[in-house]
Amino acid sequence: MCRLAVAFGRFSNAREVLTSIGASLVRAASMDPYGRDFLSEERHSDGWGVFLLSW
Amino acid sequence: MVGVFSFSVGKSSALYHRSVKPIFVDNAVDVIEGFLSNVGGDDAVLAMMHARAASTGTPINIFSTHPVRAETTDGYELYMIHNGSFYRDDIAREVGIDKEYAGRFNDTYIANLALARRVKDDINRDDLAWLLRFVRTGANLGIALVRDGLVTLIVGSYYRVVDDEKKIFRERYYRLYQCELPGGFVYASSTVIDFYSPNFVGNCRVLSNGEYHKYYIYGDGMIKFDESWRFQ
Repeated sequence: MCRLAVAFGRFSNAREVLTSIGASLVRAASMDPYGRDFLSEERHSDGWGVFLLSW
Repeated sequence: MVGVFSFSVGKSSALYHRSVKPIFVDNAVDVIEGFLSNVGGDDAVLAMMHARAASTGTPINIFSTHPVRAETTDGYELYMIHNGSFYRDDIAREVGIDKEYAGRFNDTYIANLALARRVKDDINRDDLAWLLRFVRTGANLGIALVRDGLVTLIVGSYYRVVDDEKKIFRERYYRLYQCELPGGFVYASSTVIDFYSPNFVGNCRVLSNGEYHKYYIYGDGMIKFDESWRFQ
């Protein structure tokens, strides 16, 4: 199945916060110990997406 | 295949990007960083990110890549990211979507399409309760209803508890964290936080099974927590 992240707020360092969360999601999708143990699904390889909105 | 849609109205701007490539061989961080290069330090931001592992037998195409998007009957945009699975054909039958048409898409796409037909000017508890009737395995969800100058954001977790040899692994997999940061929040799948969390992310708690949070994000950047919902 999938891995996800939702982040929102008024961050003084939005660039660092969101790119770091994005990088963590990339790593989670490339090697997921929980997915391996539960579904024999170590990688999340079937696409990705993002919706970003700023005001 | 890649789908990209961006728009900018006044001070606000948005990016909607999907790719069927694996996130770890694509340029995901560059895409995010590129958008943020135009975001000021005092701007409010919302990010919904998703990496997919398609369930066996479900289509892999750009439509079934999350966030999925649909338009409500009032013309608003509805975005959804999902970990888990719904009974797609049951949803389609309930709202009158042709079974052959539904078969071209995954469960999340059909779920979001059905939800978009149901919601009016807001997403309420009954709307989510209705959707959760169709959970097959789980519904860790991020849902954003985007109107002009106002977003309703729903984030939360639900999964079916099965008393089998996988029970502990299922809980670990579906665990969804809420982490408080200076200025905002991060909700993320267990793997993201337990194994790969950035150093600055702390103050996390695990949402209860069946716990969902509703926020309003206003056009001036103000964020308001509205309600917490619990479902059995």
